[in-house]
Amino acid sequence: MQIISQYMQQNHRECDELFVHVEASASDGNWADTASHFESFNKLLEQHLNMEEQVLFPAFETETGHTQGPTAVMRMEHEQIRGLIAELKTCYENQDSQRFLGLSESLMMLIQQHNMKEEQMLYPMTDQALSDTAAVLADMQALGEA
Amino acid sequence: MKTDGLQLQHMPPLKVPFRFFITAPLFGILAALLLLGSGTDGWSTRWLPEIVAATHLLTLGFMATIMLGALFQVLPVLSGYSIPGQHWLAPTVQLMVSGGALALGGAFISADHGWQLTAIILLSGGFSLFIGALGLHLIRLGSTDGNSIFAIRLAALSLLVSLSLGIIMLGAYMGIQIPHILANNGMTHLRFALLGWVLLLIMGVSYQIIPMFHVTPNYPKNISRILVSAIFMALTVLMLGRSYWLILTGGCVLILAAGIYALISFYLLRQRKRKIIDYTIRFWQLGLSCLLLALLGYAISLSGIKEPSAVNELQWGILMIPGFAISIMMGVLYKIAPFLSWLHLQQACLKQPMDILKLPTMHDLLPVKYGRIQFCLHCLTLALLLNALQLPVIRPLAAITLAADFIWLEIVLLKTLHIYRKSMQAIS
Repeated sequence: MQIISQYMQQNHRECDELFVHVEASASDGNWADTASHFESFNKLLEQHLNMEEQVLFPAFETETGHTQGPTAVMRMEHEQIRGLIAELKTCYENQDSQRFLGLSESLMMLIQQHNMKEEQMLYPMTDQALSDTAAVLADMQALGEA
Repeated sequence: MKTDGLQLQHMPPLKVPFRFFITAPLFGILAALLLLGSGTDGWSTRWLPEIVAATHLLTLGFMATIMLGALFQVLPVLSGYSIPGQHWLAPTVQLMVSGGALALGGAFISADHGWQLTAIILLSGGFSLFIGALGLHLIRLGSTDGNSIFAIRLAALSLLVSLSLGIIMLGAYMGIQIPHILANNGMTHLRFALLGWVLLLIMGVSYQIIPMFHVTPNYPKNISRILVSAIFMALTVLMLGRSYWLILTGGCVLILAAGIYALISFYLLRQRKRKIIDYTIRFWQLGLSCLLLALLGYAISLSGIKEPSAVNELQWGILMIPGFAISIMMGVLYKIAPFLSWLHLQQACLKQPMDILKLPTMHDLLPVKYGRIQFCLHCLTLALLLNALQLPVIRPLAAITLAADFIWLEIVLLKTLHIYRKSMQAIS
């Protein structure tokens, strides 16, 4: 069963769809919409990153005994993503559309590359390694709803 | 759970892929100059030495070089394992394949044994090194249900078939006694190169990057794999089959599978959620349109309605090489060249997070308007090349535009590299 993979991939797609609205409104110069779309996107993304950092990665690390392996790299990439998000926020506050769109392109690519690694390797590995995937999924969902 | 050796952060240094990307357009320029030198009379058949040489400068010098550079970059990221010995392997493979492409061009023009032998040694050496390393890498990945990896495996196998046949033919051309059944395989060589190695590799890459970069639905999983398998099996049937019915069946399967792939890709691109201006999308649409036109030409010749003329064969080559393959490669380069540069700059900032504010964005590294210029130039080049077959008077203009197309690409890539280096210095 690929419970974790399916759930997390779906979560990635939802983040992507929200981000598309952020880019589209910034491209149209509609900063009020950009701000509201950005907040929704950031909320969902942060929720996703937290589910991984607080539930999925620790469960995987406990099960495999690897704390400096793939999960350490994913945590580092989460920080890169958060850094870019903070920069994008400054851009829309200053209504700097040129820099915003340049940075959003980078964020899109960075997130996609990160997602690819998770979807192709890390999630299938967690599905395989975790003894109780249903419990881990329930914990992640609980965190998401909190 | 085995996670040893798996390094998700593994990313080769920027010089690994860029070494290939920067060299490749030079071969495009050289091919264009060769066509320019052949004057207004030299484009009558694909068998003319200048045409064969220019074709191989484009397919080996430009296309294979870009593909090798991209594979050296993407495989470690896709698999989590570095390619063994990539620090010496990448420059060696690049030198050997580039040198081999150059020597092959010289061999076709001069018919000189020295050039021919050099081409055989360098191309077989360079590609063997690459296929060896790639093979080890693909075996190491074990069983995977990824359609991209599946397509890349069959693309690599097609490269092996096409390359072997090419080298055997070159040997026969040099006067080495080779059995007729092995030496007389021009069509198989061409099919495995363009519809095997090139098409299957582009399919494998598109399965991954079209949904990712343009936020489209995913390619249907089962159909994607069936299409790749069908194309490879059809190529094998066409290679081994001697009867009319086998050739007809193989051809029909090939046309249908490649056509369905192109139509699905068009549909997915239309469904994309990300609607901002993006010339990579335009290049994909242009390339896929050329593929469909080439398949239509193949279908007409297979149906027997019209025997393909020498001009039709050249048109097919233009549609498949600069039309399909090079369009898509240019589109993807306009996306990955600024992204890789930016990613390396960003990683360099990890130790000094405040420096990140000084970083150029992807659009600073490669402005969107450069993509627009490249797209217009490339469309113009294709239109002129296709029309030049019937209108000899515009042949020099078509060749000059082709050169301009590659010169612009080279300038843009060098500019991106220059901004990257300047920014890196500012950080450190």
